[in-house]
Amino acid sequence: MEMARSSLQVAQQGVQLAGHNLANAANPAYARQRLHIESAETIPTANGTEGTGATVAGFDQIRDKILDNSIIFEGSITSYLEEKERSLVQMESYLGQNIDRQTAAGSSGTVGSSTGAQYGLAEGMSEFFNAVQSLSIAPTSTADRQVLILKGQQLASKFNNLDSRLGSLQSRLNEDVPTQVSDVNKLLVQISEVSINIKQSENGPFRANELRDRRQEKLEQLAKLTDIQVTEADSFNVSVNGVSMISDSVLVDGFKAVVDGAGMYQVRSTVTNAVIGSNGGKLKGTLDARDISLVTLRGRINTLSTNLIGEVNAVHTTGIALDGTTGRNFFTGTNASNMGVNIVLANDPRLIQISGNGDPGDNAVALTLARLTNQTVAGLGNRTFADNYNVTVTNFGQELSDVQTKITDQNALTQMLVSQRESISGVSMDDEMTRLITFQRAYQASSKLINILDELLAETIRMGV
Amino acid sequence: MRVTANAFPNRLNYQLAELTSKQAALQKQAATGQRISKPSDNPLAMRKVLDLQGELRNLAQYQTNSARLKESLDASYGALKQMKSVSDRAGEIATLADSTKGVEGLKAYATEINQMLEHSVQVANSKHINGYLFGGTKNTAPPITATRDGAGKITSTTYQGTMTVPQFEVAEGISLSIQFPSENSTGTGNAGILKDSRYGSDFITHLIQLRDGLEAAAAGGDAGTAALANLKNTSVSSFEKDETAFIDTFSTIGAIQSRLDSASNVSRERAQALDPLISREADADLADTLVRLNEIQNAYMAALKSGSTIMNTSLLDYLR
Repeated sequence: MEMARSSLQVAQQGVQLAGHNLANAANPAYARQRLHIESAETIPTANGTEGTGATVAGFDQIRDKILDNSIIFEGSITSYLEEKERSLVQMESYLGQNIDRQTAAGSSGTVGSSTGAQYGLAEGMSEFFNAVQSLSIAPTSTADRQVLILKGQQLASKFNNLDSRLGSLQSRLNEDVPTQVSDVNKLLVQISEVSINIKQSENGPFRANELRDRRQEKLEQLAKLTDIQVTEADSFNVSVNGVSMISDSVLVDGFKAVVDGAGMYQVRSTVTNAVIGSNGGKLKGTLDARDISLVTLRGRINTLSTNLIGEVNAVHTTGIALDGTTGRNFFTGTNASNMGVNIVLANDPRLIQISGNGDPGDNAVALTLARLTNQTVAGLGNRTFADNYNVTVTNFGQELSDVQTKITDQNALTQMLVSQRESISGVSMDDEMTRLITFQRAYQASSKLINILDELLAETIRMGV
Repeated sequence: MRVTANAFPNRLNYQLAELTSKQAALQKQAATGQRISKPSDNPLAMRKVLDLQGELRNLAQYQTNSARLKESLDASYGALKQMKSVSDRAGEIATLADSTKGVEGLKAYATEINQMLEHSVQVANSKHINGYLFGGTKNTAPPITATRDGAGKITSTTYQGTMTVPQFEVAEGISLSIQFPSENSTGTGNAGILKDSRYGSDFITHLIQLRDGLEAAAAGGDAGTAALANLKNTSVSSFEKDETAFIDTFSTIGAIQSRLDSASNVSRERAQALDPLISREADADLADTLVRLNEIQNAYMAALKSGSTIMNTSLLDYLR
């Protein structure tokens, strides 16, 4: 009877566990559990050892630690790439160097508008130098002088807007750092708390399966923010690039966002104040986009504008205006942020200095200016303005394209790992239903055993009476 | 491989997302007709397109330059044609003028030459759009200033312009001058239309001399006879020099026009050759795109259909 009773209990727990598994079938963080059934202790008899039925030894969680850690690692890389892509896509749209071959008319109906390009810096520079070419054909033409001023202003405005937008994006990315640091710290606290609970719960013979599920979920969330190294041999530890954050389940350090001299947030250890150099995760993606991709693009655009201003002014100042004056710059400013057309010239285009000898019809300086477009510039790595810009666009496009390709690969890899984990740890409805029926039948059989034993016992009692 | 409750929907979601992404990319290509539109679509192709577009814009500008220069050259040609007509008639009068024409006839010639002189100065001061055609690089003021006597007749002229003319770029590294100064005594560059040391031409002075000679001849007497003789001796040969200068200048204009046409044609042909290159890099092969889009759409529909069929079936359908 005792054996039948314990069998009923085993079957009941089996049904209960199948129900628990089925209830979590759609929970991605859940790892299926299996009833660990052991044979009950045997009784030595004269005829040998006699079995006493079955007993529940525990609930086993089906997890593959290597897969779990791989998903943490790859999640960190995917988040890094996705965050970087998000920023690079914005930069690409700010650059505005798109091709639209269906648009017949471009900016101001100028030459080159039929080449199928939107108005980016490439078109701006072409139109500026073409306006100089036009003026060289008619040096005394007020209309051509006004067009040159307009094209110069459009080009300067394009540089200004691009720099301003990139600067604004840099600020937004910077403001995102403290938010992400706060999220990292919240998750570290939660992971530490869950780990301490696990430690306490597993003080006995049983494993805290649900808590482990929850911790794994939090670890994967944390890895999406920053790359982490998780070790769990004798104790549970989490570190970021060698800096211990959780030691033996206890939170020992955290992140803090500290503003540097340039107004940019740096991520530092709350304990040592040392910079924490993360290798992956969204936070690293934000910092890389802010400090590398954006700075590189902005720097190259600034270098281009600085050299353009310098080269154009160097030639323009040598020219002579229609009123005989000389020495004025065409562009004002020193870089993309403050570039502009000299207001004196804008107010009176006759003061544009394109004559070499002072004669109004002389165009020597205009020709020298126009030829700048085909000349290499030492400050631009011995490239022409257009070539330098095209290299910038190509390099930037390549960077974004590489990131997007890596994301595609990364998604495929992550999908494969998740599928593998699902195949091991996921709940199969068919599986659980089959087990449910097995335990149901076992319960029915044990009940039948009790009936039979009951009948036997009743018969024995009747015999005695 | 064990397939679980989440595994199948996960994989189906991933596959549908992949197919949707490919569909979106192909649909964009079909709708825009472009294979690339952003630098990240294909950085190398974008680089080529940027280079080609830059070259195309430069060529378009050179074509515009050539067209504008041709207009200016046509204006110069028109003015010179008038001068040549004057020169022809003046040479004719210099030849025809003799004692048989009588006083009235010689006076009429003198008056005609004086009108032609006025006209020639006016033509030499022709303007085209923003500048005087024959003033060299000093083209904001009339290049020829006339000095007149008490009767208002031109006695001499002064050239206010320069003997050098500006160069214009018609192709990368190719410059030419399409303008002509009124006077050129440098021995280089385009000939002066009125006066040039290489030809010994001095059209206005020769017209003045002819007019004055005819007036002197009309006055009669020994001075008149001497003036007529002088006309025969000098004026005819003088106008021949002017004529030669004009004819050579016409030849130069023809050569410049030819160079402009040639430069413009080269630019146009290069531009025409560049467009297919841009198209090759940027445009989508519509047939290929639509076939691939169709394939992806079929795959998408198959994934949805098979997914819905499989997900609707489970062991529960067969348990009592």
